Amino acid sequence: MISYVIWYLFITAGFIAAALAIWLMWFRFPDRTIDDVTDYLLPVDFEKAESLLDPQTEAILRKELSPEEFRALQRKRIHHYLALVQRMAHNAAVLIEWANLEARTATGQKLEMVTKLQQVGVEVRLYSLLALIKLRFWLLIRVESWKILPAPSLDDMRQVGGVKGLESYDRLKTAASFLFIEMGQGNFEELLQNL
Amino acid sequence: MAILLQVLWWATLPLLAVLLGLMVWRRSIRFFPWFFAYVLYAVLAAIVRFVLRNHEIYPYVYWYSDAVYAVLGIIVMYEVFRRVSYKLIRRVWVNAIFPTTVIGTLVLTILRTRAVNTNLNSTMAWIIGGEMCARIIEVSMFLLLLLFVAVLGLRWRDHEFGLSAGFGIYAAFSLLASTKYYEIGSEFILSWSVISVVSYTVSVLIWLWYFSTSVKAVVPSSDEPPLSLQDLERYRDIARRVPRP
Repeated sequence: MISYVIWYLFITAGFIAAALAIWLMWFRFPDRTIDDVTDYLLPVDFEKAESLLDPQTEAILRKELSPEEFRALQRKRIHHYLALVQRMAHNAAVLIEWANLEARTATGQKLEMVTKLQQVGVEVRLYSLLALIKLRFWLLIRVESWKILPAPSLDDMRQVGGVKGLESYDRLKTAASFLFIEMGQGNFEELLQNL
Repeated sequence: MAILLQVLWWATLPLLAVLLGLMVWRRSIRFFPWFFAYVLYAVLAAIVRFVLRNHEIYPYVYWYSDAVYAVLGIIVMYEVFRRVSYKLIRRVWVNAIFPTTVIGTLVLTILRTRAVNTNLNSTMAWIIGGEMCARIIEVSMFLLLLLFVAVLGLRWRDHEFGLSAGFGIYAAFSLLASTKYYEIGSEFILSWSVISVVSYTVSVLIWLWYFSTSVKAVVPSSDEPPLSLQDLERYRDIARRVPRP
């Protein structure tokens, strides 16, 4: 019976995937040029992200607050980091789309930079995907409320799936800036502000 | 209906020949050698089937050549997976995805085929079972690559996605048809033919569209340390000094 259900689930998934592929192609953003980058980025408060993942800050909070207060605050902190990771994922997607377009015509040093941006972008997207799954799972099972277990530590989110999130995002900013300068864009300060 | 079906049935042969020519012309062979082998085999098998279409051994030729299709299809899926994982995620755990999919699919197929009492003889049952296994792998790879497009930024115009989309769409329809054929038997043969032929023609058209452009080589990334903010500062200073028109 289970194999029957899984079997037909696969068949249904195949049809849904075909429909989804058409949907993705139809609603995709048109070729993203360098002019369609900065306005579409969502600023990420990097210092805030660092402080959320800082084990020392968390240790102080654990010490200063009562367990109930800390658990309530930790849930808010998880939500906050989730919002930041969503922004990181969005920005990485925008930059990958731009890099994909540039990859069609780039050669030499520019191609190297484009490739680097694509690779780091994928890393950030991978991190974001896995981090979002983990954070949403914590929120789903309300892990911070389980009194028999310690409240989850956001420090665990530094590295997910073998990818160091904030370091990768830092490299993404750098790679994007390099390519921006390479393409003769003077407003890369704006790019850095929006990343 | 029968004439239309015959036309559709053999129409894929010239389409596949054009695809073969395109792959040679665009030099796509070196990027997708196994897919090239698959298309070449498809052309040869179609010619043999066409020549023997009125011969008594035709059913054997048809089913045994279909079994080879299934095996080659799985190898092509591995080729696609390797290229995509090399391009996007070079991590050790990624290498486990394909073998896990194959093993999971094998188990599922064995469970599924054993649960059905079929009127097919054992060789036919094995061939159809093997085909269904290959189709599940193709659907899985299509789903995986769609996930890569949606989440990791794989370009939908990339040949890898085109290949898996072609196989995936054909596999979904063919899987439904094979499953019904396995369950119902020879009574389902006409519907099975129509579904298989139409979906296969669509897949070949998808491949033709994708291979009408050249495959771009994957640029190997260097293993040097990642760019640092100090590098950026240095680069920014240099950029400021360069006079702009």
